[in-house]
Amino acid sequence: MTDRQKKIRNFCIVAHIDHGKSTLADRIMEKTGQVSERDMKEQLLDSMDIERERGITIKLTPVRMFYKHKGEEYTFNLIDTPGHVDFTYEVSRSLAACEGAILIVDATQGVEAQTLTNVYLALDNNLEILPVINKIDLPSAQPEKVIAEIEDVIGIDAHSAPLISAKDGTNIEQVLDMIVETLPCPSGDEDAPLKALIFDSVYDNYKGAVCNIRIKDGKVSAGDRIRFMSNGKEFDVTEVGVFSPNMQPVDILRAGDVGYLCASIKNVKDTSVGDTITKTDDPAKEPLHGYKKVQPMVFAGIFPADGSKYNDLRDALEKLNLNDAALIFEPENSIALGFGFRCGFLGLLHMEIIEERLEREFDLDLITTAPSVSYIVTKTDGTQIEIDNPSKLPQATEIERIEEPIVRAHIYTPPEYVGAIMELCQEKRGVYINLTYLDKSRVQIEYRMPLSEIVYDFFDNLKSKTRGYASLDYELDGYNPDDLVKLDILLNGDVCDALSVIVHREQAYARGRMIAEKLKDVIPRQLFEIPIQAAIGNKVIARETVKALRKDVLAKCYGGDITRKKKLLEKQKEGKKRMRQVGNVAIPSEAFMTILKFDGK
Amino acid sequence: MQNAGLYIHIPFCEKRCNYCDFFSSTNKDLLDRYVDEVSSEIKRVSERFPAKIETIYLGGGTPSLLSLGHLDKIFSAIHSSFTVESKETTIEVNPNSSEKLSEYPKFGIDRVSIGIQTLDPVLLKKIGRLHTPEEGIDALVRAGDSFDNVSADLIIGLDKNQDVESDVNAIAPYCTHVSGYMLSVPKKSQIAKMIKEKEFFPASDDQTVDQYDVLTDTCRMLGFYRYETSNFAKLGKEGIHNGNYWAMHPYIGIGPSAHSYFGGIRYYNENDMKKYLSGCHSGNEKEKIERKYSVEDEITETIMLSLRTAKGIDIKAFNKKFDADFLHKYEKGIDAVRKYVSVTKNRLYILPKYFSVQNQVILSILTH
Repeated sequence: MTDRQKKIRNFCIVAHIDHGKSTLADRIMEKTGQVSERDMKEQLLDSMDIERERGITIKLTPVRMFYKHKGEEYTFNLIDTPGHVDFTYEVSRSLAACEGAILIVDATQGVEAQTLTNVYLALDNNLEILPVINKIDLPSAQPEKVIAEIEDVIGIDAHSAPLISAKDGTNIEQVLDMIVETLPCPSGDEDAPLKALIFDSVYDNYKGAVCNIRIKDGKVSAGDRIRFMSNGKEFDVTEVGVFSPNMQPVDILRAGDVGYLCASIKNVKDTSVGDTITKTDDPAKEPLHGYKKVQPMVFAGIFPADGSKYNDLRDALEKLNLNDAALIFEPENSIALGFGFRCGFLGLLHMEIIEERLEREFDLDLITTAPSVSYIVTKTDGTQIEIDNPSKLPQATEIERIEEPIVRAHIYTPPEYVGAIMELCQEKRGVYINLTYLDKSRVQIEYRMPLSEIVYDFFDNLKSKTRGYASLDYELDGYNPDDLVKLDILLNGDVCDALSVIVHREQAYARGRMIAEKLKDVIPRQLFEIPIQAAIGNKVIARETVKALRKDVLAKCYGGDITRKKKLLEKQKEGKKRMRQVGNVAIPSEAFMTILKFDGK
Repeated sequence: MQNAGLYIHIPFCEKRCNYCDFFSSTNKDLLDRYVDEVSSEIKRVSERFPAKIETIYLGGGTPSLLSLGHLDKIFSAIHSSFTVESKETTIEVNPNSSEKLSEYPKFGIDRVSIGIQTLDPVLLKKIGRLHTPEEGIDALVRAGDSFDNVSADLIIGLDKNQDVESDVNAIAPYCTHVSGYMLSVPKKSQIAKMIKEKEFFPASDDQTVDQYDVLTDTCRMLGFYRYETSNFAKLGKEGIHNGNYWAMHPYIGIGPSAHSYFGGIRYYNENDMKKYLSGCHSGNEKEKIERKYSVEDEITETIMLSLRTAKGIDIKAFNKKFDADFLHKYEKGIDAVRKYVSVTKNRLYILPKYFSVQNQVILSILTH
């Protein structure tokens, strides 16, 4: 280990959502003089508007800082991590770029689902954990209890954990000193062949794909020819640098350093998170372990509310894709919604974020279909296909078996909600695995359950049944066959493809009834009566009727003032533009969304 | 010289009705000044829009609040400014200010429209009318003594149990024309507040349409045919002035918030009594011109207005006026509503059954 390496600390901060991760990051940067207070926006690391508004981190932003401790100057590389289950893989790769992790626990909340998930991920990556108790300024703070909980539940020593308030800056220096004293410095051989871990990549209009990297072994400079070990693609390095927090070029990055690398890479897809970069002239024998290709878990159709905006939507998705290789999309043509895209996401939050960015950054009005998972369908002829779009499911007679993705769900809750949660899990076809009392006030419940149930309304249900106290985490755990059917919705006798869903046969009746009832409320009355039917194959299982419209007339035009009438007509015309035509039935865009919404029933 | 209708707006009322959000003043002291300004607007506007006046309509508000002196001034102004060859001169009359009915013919007024609204005493009170059912009938009877053309205004949809049939039966012997309007609830009206505070319970849309069907049927049985969405007449007693609105004939509006359609352009005076009294109106070229008024607007209006009438669109006239092929231009839209309209080479009209959903039919024609 070189003297240079001894003065480096690479760390991240892990926490449950809202426990104060970004605020602590901001304070650390402030105290190390990295950012002048005047320039600071709240949550500086979270550079996207959505991140700042929702208080969540989506993109990983590293930052380099300097801290003087006992007369010596240390380099801190703080790597922020996303705090959501959708991005578990990204979290694990950014953890792999560090030697230590600051574990923030909210002094009023204690250990939560993501605290544990992230701590276990950190421990898996052999990180040294520095526990920190936050929000001690709040009257309901119980630091002693939380320290005991950390020791009991996680099994790490938390007695010397700094008690801080990231909000008002209490005891931040203590955290900085402990980073130096307790977190290990990076090891790694500067003279070995290059092994650089990609823990994130972003697209820059001028530089192309920018890889955020941690050098594990060796060194890299501009001019080196490099190879991505997962796909074998080679590039010439044009620039290496560090984050301060903006990109700042340097001559060389060496083992232990965190920085970025550009090589005129046109497509961010070539720079997969978790991949290893090496040099072509002296390549590493083995890549760093832990690389996997990220697979989307949740799928939905996204359509422009105004059909003529299809090209705008495509351009917007392509732009987002530059920065977000996890987003996949392909053109889809729906009878009801026209031309749009079938998109794959890491999870529900990822989907929401993409939708929101499309609407906000690209000013698009969207219609999104019900999120679906990807099913493995075995046909009677023995062939297997993957189906992520319910309307593409083959005829029931051609299907031998349908398998659906299953997750292992971990739910953390105060004990009083155990009954309600178990009931909910059973209802959602969960299979009980385990129940552990973490301490007197916290229980961990484990279930195996279909991902489609989680994607549907499990989380909202869980929150409402436990008044928001329970937290959920899950990971994919294989596929299971089940009695799954396609539920179609017919409007005035015509199937509306965008409303089809794949459900368990036993739930089909309740779902069909619910969708029909909701549609009845959102489809406006029209010139003729509209039957709404839910059907499995040819069998109708629920029916509602939208009665024919009887009154739509302006009675009077006072004194030749026809402007009122014309205005109304113009308004109706606009409204009609936002309607979708299925057969001869006009359906408002909202109809496609409302049926997805959890209504607390 | 172009033929035109002349509308004189009298935005003064004893008391504003609860269902009304139209501009009106209850300050009768302003009436003298107002009539002077109206006379001046008439004079000036006649220079800008020289026209042969075929119909005159005094609407409101409550034109029957005008004194005979006021009427004299207004009609003198009209006759000294315009060429008048009146086919119809109408004044709106409220039963509680109907004492001058017999005096009106001397101004050339040959038609009265009386605001009966309903003969249900409880509903009359609730909607803020100042007359009783008896006074309503009495006004109609007296109107018949002086006029061959008497119209009665009714409002339906006031209550789910409103007895429209008995109202129509009661007024029919004394009038030649019935206007039946469905209650509309303007957001800022008193009645909107009353509904919110659960003091007033109007009929539902479906109930209102049921009452509209009763109105139509009762009228038909009594010899009043529906020639327009809200208007029923004995044959030959159709309102000419209003008919011209639907036919997109030119008209000139006098008074604040009055609209004009002349030379293919729509004008309107601001809805502001103060400004009006200080001379801000079409006579002084200070009125507003409807912006972005295009041929397409005119086409839309033509379709929208003519489909209010029983006769519907005169396709030949349409094609000639706009140098277009109506049936071709709207082929898809017409196809979509074929069940709801009758269409021949010369005429397209909405079937009587679907009058109450005409906006949908019009929309379909226009947006396909």
